[in-house]
Amino acid sequence: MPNPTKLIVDCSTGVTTEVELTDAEVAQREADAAAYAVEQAARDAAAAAKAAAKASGEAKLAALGLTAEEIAAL
Amino acid sequence: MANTYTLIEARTLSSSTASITFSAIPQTYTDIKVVYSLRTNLSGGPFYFDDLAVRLNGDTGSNYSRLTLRAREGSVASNKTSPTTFMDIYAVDAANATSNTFSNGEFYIPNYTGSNYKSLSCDGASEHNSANDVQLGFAAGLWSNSAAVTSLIIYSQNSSDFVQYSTAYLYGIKNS
Repeated sequence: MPNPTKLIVDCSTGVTTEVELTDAEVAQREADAAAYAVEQAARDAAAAAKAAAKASGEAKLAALGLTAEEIAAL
Repeated sequence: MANTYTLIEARTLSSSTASITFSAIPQTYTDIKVVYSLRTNLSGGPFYFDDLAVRLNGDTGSNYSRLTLRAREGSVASNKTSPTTFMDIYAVDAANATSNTFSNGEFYIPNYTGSNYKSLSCDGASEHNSANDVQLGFAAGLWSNSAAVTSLIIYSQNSSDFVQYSTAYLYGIKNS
């Protein structure tokens, strides 16, 4: 199976070439995707932790007698 | 302040490709700007949008700092990262987005021939017909390299391919 291609526009000549990625570029691409997956998982985990902390904090404030409007105004 | 806008190159893809590179960028402008309309073939999940990246001068080192504000799937998040190997830019539709829609976005690099580190600002939005399953974003970045920008590559962080009819335009801007 051939490697994916890349499009290169040479701005000095206006010539466009479409060439197959080298094996090294394919490896870089795979490494980029793996790194991205790790970063995305970390982002998702941080967002979930923040949402959980927010919900917990709001519940505690509600238990103290604050209304939803008062909590939202904080 | 920009006084002139010159279209340096414009390309519309005739077939799928992994990345778009502008090379040998002329060093005769004050700033450069890239405007794009893109879609990728990312599939296999609920992928209404993909994630874009740009690298300058082929630099794959951890030299890109970034601060992003983005909305995706109905939630908003800001993110500041330690230097990474690419710069986030926004946005790009993926395989499950509304048929024949393409995202729109642009990024601007001022003083790209200067000898200081290079800043980049970006905004973009996907075009899927949904209130929530879309991606909207702003990004500010810094490339920690004092070299003049002579090339840039745009690609998908998920290693998907840009589909046919995706477009990218490179402009040169002069301040006089």
